[in-house]
Amino acid sequence: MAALKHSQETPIHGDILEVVFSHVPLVHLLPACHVSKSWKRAVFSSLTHINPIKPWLMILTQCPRDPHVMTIHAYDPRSHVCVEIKQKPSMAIKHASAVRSSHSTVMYTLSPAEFAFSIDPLHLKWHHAPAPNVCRTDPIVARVGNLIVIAVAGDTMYLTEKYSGMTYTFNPIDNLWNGPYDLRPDQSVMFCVTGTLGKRLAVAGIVGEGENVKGMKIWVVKGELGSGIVMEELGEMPEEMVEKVMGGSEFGLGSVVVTWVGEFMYVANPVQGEEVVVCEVVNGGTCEWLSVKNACMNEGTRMKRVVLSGVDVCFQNLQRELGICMKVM
Amino acid sequence: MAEKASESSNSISLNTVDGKIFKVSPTIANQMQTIQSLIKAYDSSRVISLPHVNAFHLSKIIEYLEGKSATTVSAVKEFEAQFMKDLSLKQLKGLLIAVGYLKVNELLELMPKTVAKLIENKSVEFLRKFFGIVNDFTPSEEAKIREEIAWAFDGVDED
Repeated sequence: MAALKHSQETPIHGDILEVVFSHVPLVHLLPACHVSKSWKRAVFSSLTHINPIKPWLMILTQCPRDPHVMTIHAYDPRSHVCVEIKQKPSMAIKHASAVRSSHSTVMYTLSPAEFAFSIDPLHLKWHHAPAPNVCRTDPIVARVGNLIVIAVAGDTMYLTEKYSGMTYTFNPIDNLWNGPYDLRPDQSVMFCVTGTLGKRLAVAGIVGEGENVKGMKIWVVKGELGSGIVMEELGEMPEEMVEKVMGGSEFGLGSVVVTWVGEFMYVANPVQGEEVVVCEVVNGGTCEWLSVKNACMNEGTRMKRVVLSGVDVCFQNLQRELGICMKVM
Repeated sequence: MAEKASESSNSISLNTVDGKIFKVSPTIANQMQTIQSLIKAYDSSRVISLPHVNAFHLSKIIEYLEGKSATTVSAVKEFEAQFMKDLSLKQLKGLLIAVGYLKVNELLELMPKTVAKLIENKSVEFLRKFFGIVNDFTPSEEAKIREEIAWAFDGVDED
């Protein structure tokens, strides 16, 4: 009888606990981490060995009318959940002008009167700077190292003309432009977006003829940019997903948004799509494609401005964000 | 007749911690890795004692292993859903420990998902109470933690 009592009180063994934690969304792992020292160890071991943290796709929705209320959601590919990030009303961010992102981890607003940007993972802190003297209607803002450049891999900014694939690079430290480089992988590609997969320069190309979209492929640039650019095809988006994000688009390819973060590429169409296509490059070479229903984009957001950016989230920066509440939808 | 005799002579006797003897077929026993290795170590005629498993948990495991041999995928899914639904929270926790000890691979895949759902949206206090965990953080560590995850206590379920 004493033995039975003992068996009932045996805590769940570390190995099993780690497996349990691998099924718990990151946001909900925070309290588990503080139950006891052994639970804390199991949480971190689970995040290291079983189901590691993956970069999030941040989705900002901005109301087009004053006071331009912004809501923030995140898609966490680790457990395929959408997270609603709520702030205290006093902290809520309001911007007079439209929030934008240029395929990077920076979000910004730019108007002749104001330039504000946010580089923190959850886009809760906004920095204000004097607006640049010259203001384009369609600018590019990128973070290169610790500098914010207005016109992204490592210390170089890549600027690509999407229809031709013509690319220039800019190094803000030496203030040096280079190029042009032809990054259009082949003649069938009618629209390309450059970005980085891990540390490699990558190109997502929409393949088709005229107005007829046939598909999307991913290439990575091998070696340095130079006269003889070698590109390796990594994978092709499954047909049914092409239909979901690009099919029947009456707004043209310009509405297709590609976001790169870590080994992930996200393809979304905020104008019409309720689906986001996720591509994870596994072991540096295999593309794993997944289409997720985006709980954050629905009928209610259709008339609003939707901005996407990727974020390398880590447990520590979730812990430090005070005054916010995260809810898995 | 001969077949039946060989089947019964092949069956394996398991003695639970609360003294109940279960006779199981080799097919069932082989799905518990721990028993498998014990069979190799023991003389097959002997009764295998299981110091960490009680009769209720073993009967549940046998029920699962017999039940999931349903013919269709959807029938298995339905059976699994009902099996998990029938367990109380306390039973679920105890069974998970038994399953972990006996290394029943299929339940080791199914059960953590259900337990994971229980962890979602719960406070630190609830988790300690529910899983019977003693807080071994020092008060100063605890205070630091509280400050760090203040938001996590917003909007947790009341239970």
